[in-house]
Amino acid sequence: MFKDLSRREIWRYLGYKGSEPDETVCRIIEETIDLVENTVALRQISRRVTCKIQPDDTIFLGSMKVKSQSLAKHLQGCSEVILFAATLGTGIDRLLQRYNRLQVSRAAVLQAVSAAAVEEWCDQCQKQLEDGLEEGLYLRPRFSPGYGDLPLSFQRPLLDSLEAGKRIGIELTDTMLMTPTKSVSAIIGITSDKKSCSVHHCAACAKTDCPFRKEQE
Amino acid sequence: MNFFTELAGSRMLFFDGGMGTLLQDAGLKPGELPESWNITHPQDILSIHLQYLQAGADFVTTNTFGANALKLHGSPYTAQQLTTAGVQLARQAVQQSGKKAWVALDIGPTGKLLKPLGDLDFEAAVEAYKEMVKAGAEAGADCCIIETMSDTMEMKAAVLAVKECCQLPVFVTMVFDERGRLLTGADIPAAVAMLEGLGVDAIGLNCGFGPEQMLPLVDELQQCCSMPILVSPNAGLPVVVNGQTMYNCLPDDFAKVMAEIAKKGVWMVGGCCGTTPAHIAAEVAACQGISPKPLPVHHRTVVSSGCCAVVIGEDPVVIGERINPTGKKRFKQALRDGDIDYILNEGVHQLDAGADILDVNVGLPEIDEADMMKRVVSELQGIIDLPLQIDTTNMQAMEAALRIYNGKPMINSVNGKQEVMREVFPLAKKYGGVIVALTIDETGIPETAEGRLAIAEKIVRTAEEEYGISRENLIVDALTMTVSSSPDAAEVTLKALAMIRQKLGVKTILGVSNVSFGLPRREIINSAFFLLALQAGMDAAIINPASEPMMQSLFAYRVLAQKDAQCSKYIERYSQTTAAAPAPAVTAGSMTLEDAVRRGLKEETVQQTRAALETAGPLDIINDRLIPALDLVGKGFEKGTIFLPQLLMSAEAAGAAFDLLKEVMAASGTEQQKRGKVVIATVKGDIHDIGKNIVRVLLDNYGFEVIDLGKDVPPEVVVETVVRENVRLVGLSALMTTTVPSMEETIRQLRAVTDCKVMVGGAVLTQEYADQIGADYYAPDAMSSVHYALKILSPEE
Repeated sequence: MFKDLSRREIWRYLGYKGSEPDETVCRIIEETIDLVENTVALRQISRRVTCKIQPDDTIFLGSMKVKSQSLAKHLQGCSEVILFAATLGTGIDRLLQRYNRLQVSRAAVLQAVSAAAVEEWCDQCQKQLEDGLEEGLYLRPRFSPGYGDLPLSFQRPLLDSLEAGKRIGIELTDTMLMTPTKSVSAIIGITSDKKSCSVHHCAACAKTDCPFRKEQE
Repeated sequence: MNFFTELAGSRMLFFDGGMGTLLQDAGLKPGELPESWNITHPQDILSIHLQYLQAGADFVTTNTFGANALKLHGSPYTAQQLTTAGVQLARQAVQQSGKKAWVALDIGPTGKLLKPLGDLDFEAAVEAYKEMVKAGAEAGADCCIIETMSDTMEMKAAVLAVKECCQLPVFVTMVFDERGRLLTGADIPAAVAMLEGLGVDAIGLNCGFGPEQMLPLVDELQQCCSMPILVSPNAGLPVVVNGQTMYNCLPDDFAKVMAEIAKKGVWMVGGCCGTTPAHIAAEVAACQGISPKPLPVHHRTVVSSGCCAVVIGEDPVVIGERINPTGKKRFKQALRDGDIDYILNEGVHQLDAGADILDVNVGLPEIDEADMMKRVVSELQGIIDLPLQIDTTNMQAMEAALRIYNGKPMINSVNGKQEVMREVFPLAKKYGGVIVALTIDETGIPETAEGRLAIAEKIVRTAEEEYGISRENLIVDALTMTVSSSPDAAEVTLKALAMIRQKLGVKTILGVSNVSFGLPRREIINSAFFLLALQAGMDAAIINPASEPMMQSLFAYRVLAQKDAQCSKYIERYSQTTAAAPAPAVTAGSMTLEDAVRRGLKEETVQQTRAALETAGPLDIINDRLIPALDLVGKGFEKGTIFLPQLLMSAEAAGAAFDLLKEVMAASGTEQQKRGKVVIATVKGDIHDIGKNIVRVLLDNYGFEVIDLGKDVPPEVVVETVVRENVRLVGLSALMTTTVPSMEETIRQLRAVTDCKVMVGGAVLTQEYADQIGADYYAPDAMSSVHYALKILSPEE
């Protein structure tokens, strides 16, 4: 599942700005990828709903309503979206907990590998979702609560509407963080305009000083 | 005796079906709280109950699934109001129907993940459930159904809430995935072990799947469950049509499979999402003429963790003995210092060495044992999947551990003394567990096998007759005595063990290493005695799994006694051992201590430190070699030539050297001057703590006394610690913008009572942000926090 995980992405998360890790660290990364592969309990859930955007940036997604300029911009031209959530499961968090207590160097690598893994898992899900669409329809990049001006508190209605707690075990803390921590929730626009799908997540985010921000390719 | 004990098994019993879809049909809007209809639309709820009663349901489930305080975000009603109204409506429906039927108080998940994976405190979950149960019992519920559960810890909170508030029968049904696991990882045998231990009245499956997909799960459940079983599937698998979830399994198709499930020996059936009164009516009709099969009695001696079960009696079980301060100076020091990491490490080493269960003993006269036991158990079960054995004579400590234990533990121990049985058995009865029974009583340890058998018999009889604890939940220890002081000690023990197994039909356990006390090369005697005990039928042994001679005996015994099919476990463990370990690139002689630290090689670093000790004192090694080596690595990190994983590996390698040097200094009575205390914490609401942990490792290296308060730490706890420990520097981390306010609040509270400095860090923080919330210093990376700590606490350097 994760053997083709982008090593560059993992290095980037670990702070290797363009350079390559030495042999020892590379070996630890490979071991960690195997470990993640054997520990994950991959789950995902999605639901296709209608999307209406009003001129004042109020967006209706199925029965939900939210106001967000950046999401409105991101979903421009979409009359439908897919609501989506996915997780690597609680096993990774238990491992992270172990290494965080006992071997932080491993925790750092596990953190990076599992962050790359959850993105990879989402990409795989998204590809399947896209393949399942009618001819000529495509999916925009994932847009998550907390991006731009879409409030993090939108997690609650989004995950509730997916029954994400019951179905795939994603619950929220009081501060709107997802548990298991290696989880993603997102809104994915459905569009007939293929060109509009090539924007990377980073480009959609307002945090321009983020250390992990990718330059537009 | 309750109504259910008489009713269960006398005929097939039927639960009702789904509530949600019917409410939506009646006009419940998406996002609207279904339970609020108990107050706003009582007639609709009443009518649904009546329809199910007419369809033939014996149990009506109240509309209270999410009526717990933790789930009622912003509802105008309290959990108590919604629960009371819900039970009253169900009662009213039963009365109006004129039928003999029972009201089941419906209890669902809290909608939060419990600590340590989430942010919900165990006792907070118990309290939330208690509020519901009290209201429900008062309003006249006949029983409680805890359903759609996917976390063993949460189930335990709910069951305890029921048991502590009322005498009502309690049923628990869970959602397993196709591999037979809960979302939080427990498999079916583990969940069943815990629930049987807690003394629930029925166990089952609901939601998740349609009836077809539940068939294999029912089989698996029946293989380990000796309780009545309840199965309530959805009306097939969900499909989404126009954004709406639909369940398309028709009543007759549903009922056909449900009859098959009933024929397997399931005593109670119902329905979950998407099922309607028509499904239940069809189910009742299809099950006509099926009478409940007698329950299987498995006689299993089983313990569990939050992930897996360990059966005792099939394959010899190894219980790791290392988490115990007896005779261990370093361990005692760890307990005094509250150094939980040291204890966790002992746990992980034993796991890696092949332990099946870990004994946990943290008793030391000068510490608060109950508090320490609770902390250690909850931390251990957060990172290790093995079941634990709670080992203490302190009943407060025992109860504290049993309460928060995630599963069914071993309990070490009870013995033949009346007073001890009176203390231990009620706790075991309430929380569940397999109890180690020592063959000793008021008169001491009998010298003969017959005498030990007599005590074992007394314990078993007392457990069964006076406390209702069956003998499967006892494991008798015939007591290993020392051969050097009494020559027939081993023989008597083995004879007693065999007699106890044979005459009482109970499982047996021994602490092995006592046998060799006072003799040289103890492992020679221990491993031979271990083998003899295995041959005599010992089911579990408390040993050091890191002792290779012991494990060799065990793996050899398994092969010779036909307990290792195709010798596969033996081969797996020993086929690789002749192969050479990968040779280190640089041999010990040619690498300097500085090289070893820089390259992050732990073992090399320790070796080189040992070598250095021949010519230099520990303090000189620290100041002249380790710290400069670390400084060099730190500078490389800041320049961007060394990266985070290497920085941490170097820190860990140096940490191993520091540990060695500390031991040397402790032995010689010298002490390293500590650089001062730093409190670090990930702020309340934040559960991502890797950044804070990185800082901890580095500060540790530089000789600071780090008080790590962990993650999700309330401001009050930070303030209290800073004041109590007279701390001059605090480090706070926050990952998310949503938790920065909690960082700000912590700083505000600190400012009110102390003038200590505060440094902050974390993914979303910036210098600007740090200034805004009143921090003294913004640490953009881990090394900068070290520099700041040095500046504040060791300005002279």
